[in-house]
Amino acid sequence: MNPSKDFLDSCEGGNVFSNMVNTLINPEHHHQFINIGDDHLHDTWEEAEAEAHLDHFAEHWDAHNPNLEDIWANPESHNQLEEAWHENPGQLDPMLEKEYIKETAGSIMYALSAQNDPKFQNSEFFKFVERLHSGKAKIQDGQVVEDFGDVWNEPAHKEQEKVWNGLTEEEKSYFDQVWKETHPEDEEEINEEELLKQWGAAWDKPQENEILKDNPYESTIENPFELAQLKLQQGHYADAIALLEIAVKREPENSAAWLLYGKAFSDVDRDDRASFCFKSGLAIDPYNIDQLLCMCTSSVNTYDHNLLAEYFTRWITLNSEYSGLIVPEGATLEILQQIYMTASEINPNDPNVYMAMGIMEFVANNYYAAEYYFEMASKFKPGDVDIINKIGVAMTKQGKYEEAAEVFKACVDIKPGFVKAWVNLGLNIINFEGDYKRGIECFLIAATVYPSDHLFEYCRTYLKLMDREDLIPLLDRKDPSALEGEFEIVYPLRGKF
Amino acid sequence: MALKSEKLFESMTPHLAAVGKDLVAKIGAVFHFEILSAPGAEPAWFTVDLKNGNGAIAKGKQGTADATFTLTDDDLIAVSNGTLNPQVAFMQGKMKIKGNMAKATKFTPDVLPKNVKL
Repeated sequence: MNPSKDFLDSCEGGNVFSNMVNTLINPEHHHQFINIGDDHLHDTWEEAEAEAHLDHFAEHWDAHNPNLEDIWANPESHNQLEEAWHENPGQLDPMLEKEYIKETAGSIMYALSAQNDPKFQNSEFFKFVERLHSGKAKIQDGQVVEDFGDVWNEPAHKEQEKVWNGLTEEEKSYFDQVWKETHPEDEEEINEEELLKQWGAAWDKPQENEILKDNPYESTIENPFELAQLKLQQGHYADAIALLEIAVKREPENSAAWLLYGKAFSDVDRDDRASFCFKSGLAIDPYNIDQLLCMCTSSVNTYDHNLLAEYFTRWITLNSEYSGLIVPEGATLEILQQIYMTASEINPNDPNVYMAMGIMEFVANNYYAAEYYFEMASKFKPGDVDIINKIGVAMTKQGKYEEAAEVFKACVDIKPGFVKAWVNLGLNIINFEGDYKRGIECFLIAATVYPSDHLFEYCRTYLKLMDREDLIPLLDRKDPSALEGEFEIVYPLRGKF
Repeated sequence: MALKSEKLFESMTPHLAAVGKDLVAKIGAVFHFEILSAPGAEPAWFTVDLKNGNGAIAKGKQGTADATFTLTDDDLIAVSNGTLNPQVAFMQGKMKIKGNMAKATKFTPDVLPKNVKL
């Protein structure tokens, strides 16, 4: 026999009361109720309280609640509820609602306990309803809220507290340990606010490189732009970037300075900043085709592909050498590939056309073809580390790790301060050999040239993966030499003036 | 217009081949990403499984997620480029999170692909 059905039958069908009961009794709804609450809290509660509380229940019941017939027999309270419900469904007066839920829960409990079936009395639902009734659990805004308020003042708990306080620290920590071991989830769920705070901190990258806090150069320095060019040739990126910062501040309309500033950032693996510089330069001089091509590379590196077709269209349209080529409006990268192919027939010696073709193949995931075009570009611009690095990247993408490693090494042989190649070499080593240590060494070497936050971020990730979290405090000093004891670090710029 | 995020997720695969096993040991969660090309647009789904085997990236919803992130294409790229902190995005309501919060906070910069750059 189905007791809940039996109980429902005993209520008059169709009225609010029986609907409410129905909601609580229906196993499906019951499931929802439990789920909208905090399961974890629920479980903890259960363990601490299940036994003791069942006893309390009997007392509570007698003291607090008339039997079902009595509630039911009072048509006044009944009508009152009914009216309130109709006026504002779902939003009963809070006090009324609270009582209503308590009463309803009480009635359900009565009905269930009347069945005298331990299956019901020990069920999760029964215990839940019991807490609703006693006010230890409340429903607020559709959420189950547990109230531990009185429980701790009850004698049984006072007793437990005494026992706990009498324990030695050692015993306490033993119990803590056992609790943690048996309740691994508790720790994690304890404080959502704290979790969120830690999460935010994990992502927080101070943008201290955006504007240098301590620019080593006087803002009155003469010819910062010319000096920066010299520093870039020597691979002194930190100096070059500091000088260019002064240059663009002094002459914000100097598109050539923005171009060089962007290239410097691109070389130190900061395509986010590079994009900003190239965009600033293009805003001043939309016809600067060198700037356009650089912008394409940075767009790919920052996953910002949407304007690529437009940049390639502008590059070929603005290039007087290819003025005979007509690019249809809204040309896609596929169409542009054909047009650039024609351009390479018009002038088979233009490294920039090959570079553009390489980038387009790269975006289309045709890494073999990309490698070929970058090789062609390199042929007509030998020794250009920017192009050689691109060959290495196309190789890595094909899984040709050993060849790629040689190419990246060749880059830093030519230009020891070329951060991007050091970073690519490190990632290549990790992806190929899973050798975190040598990978981290590459990032640290890169950081000796230009200490970007993302380099330390990479080190942090791989230190964790190699189970060397103990080194993170040293890493946080943001000084690569602090890790010299653990890693072999070379200083590409040492002794170069 | 193809989603930028698709490229981002694509580039995670070779990274996982190398470090997936160790990442799985540290992260131990399955994430679903519901990516909108614009607010209110039809979403595209991606699954980042850093719980099983060597980890896996897949288009669509695979398996059960420990946490689901809903955000726009541009915002995910901003997160990946380090210009948007996902915790801030969550607080500002730019990003929605469903599921286990403790697992959601396992989505850290460690999870992002570290990609070789042109």
